Amino acid sequence: MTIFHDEIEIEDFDYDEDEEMYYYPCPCGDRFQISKEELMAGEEVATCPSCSLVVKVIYDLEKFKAEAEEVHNDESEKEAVKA
Amino acid sequence: MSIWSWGANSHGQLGLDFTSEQVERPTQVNFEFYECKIKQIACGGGHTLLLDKDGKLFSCGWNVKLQLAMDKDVYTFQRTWKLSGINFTNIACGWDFSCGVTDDKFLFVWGSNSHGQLGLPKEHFSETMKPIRLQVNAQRVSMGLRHTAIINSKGEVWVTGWGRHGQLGLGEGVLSCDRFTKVPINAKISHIACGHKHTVAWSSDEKALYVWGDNTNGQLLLDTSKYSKIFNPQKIDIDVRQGVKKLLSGWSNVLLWLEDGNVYTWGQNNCGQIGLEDIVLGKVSRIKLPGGRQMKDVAVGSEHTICLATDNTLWAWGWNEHFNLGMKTDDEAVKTPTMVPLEIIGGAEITALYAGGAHNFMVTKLLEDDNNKVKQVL
Repeated sequence: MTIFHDEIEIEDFDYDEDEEMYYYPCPCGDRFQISKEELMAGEEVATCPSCSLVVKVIYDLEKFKAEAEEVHNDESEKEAVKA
Repeated sequence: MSIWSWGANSHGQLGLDFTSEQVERPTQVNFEFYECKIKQIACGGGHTLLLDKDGKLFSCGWNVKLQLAMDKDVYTFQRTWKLSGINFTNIACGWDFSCGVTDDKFLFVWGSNSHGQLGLPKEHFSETMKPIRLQVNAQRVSMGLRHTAIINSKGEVWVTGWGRHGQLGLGEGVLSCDRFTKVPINAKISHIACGHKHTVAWSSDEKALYVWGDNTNGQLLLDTSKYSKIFNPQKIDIDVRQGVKKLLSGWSNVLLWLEDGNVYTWGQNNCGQIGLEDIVLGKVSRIKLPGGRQMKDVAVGSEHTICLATDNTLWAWGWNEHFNLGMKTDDEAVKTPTMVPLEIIGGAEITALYAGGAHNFMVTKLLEDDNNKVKQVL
């Protein structure tokens, strides 16, 4: 069984749009991270590259998928307008 | 005067000219810049600031959010030339942001402003900032994970940054703030400490504690089953009638060091942060160093504490995954004060301790230093 260092809501993560990664500070000085792709696949454990600690990401998978889809559609629309 | 560092070093925050997962024991930092004397060191998550006695600033470590006020990461202490000509009297680091108080009591801020923690309105300023001077009168300052609190000359507390867990103390309607705003407290505040998601303040006048923010781990000394978050400052009488030397906060734990030498801790204890095996969550614990030793200085990292005793011995407890405690231990959680082996420093006297995320600094002086000073005077 995984022992979580903390449970962090998705809203509290910093999102890097270019990398499509979610980040949250880790007490070791580095950052917990989880990709958008992993979250879409239902993964809920964010890990730190520098230490053993892990946190559980609190999020609603269906809502997350729906929002990601919405953003995707918005971007497609923008592209369409540009074209 | 010598500087020593140890613990997590993922971004070169130890100033040892390399990055590594960790440095196991206190290691001397090569710092000969102008032969200066150190006034203060401040440690963030992955970065470190150093202030010398002349008020000049140096920094090293991670610069991803411009928290060093440099152009890139640096692994040894470098002069922050962007802030040359400014005389700082006091510095502080948040997780990935920094500040300095000038001799005329103004505040320079730099680094991450992702949650408005620098007090710079997000509509006009970017998420990472070069140093900028604020028209804020600051006497004392503390920076947490994503929020900042200052005490001004009137003893008022002003805050800015992330407030989703109540850590701003501005009421339930204020979940974030990107300019300094006054916290409604009717007492003069003398000490302040920001944690991960909470803030604690001490009033020397009232001999009372004021707390707000996240209480999931009892860090506000409130009943955790009734109060998980507090959005307005609560006054708490912990029956202390002494002056306070230091009020410090880790991520979810607090340490109060009193003039009479007593040390109280409370909050989360999953990594041994409190310094006692058995604690009552949400209650104050009194920490004693073995052999009746008295505390000379203390520093709190994210989840560990280091403590200097008056007999020049160093003690540590809490999280030790990255040798945060300066020694190897079987368990990653050290629950009680444990002596740090220090053969390496010889007969030098330890004068000050500093800690940040999972890294530490210690300043020592050789007894000869005093003799030299006398010679120079003569």
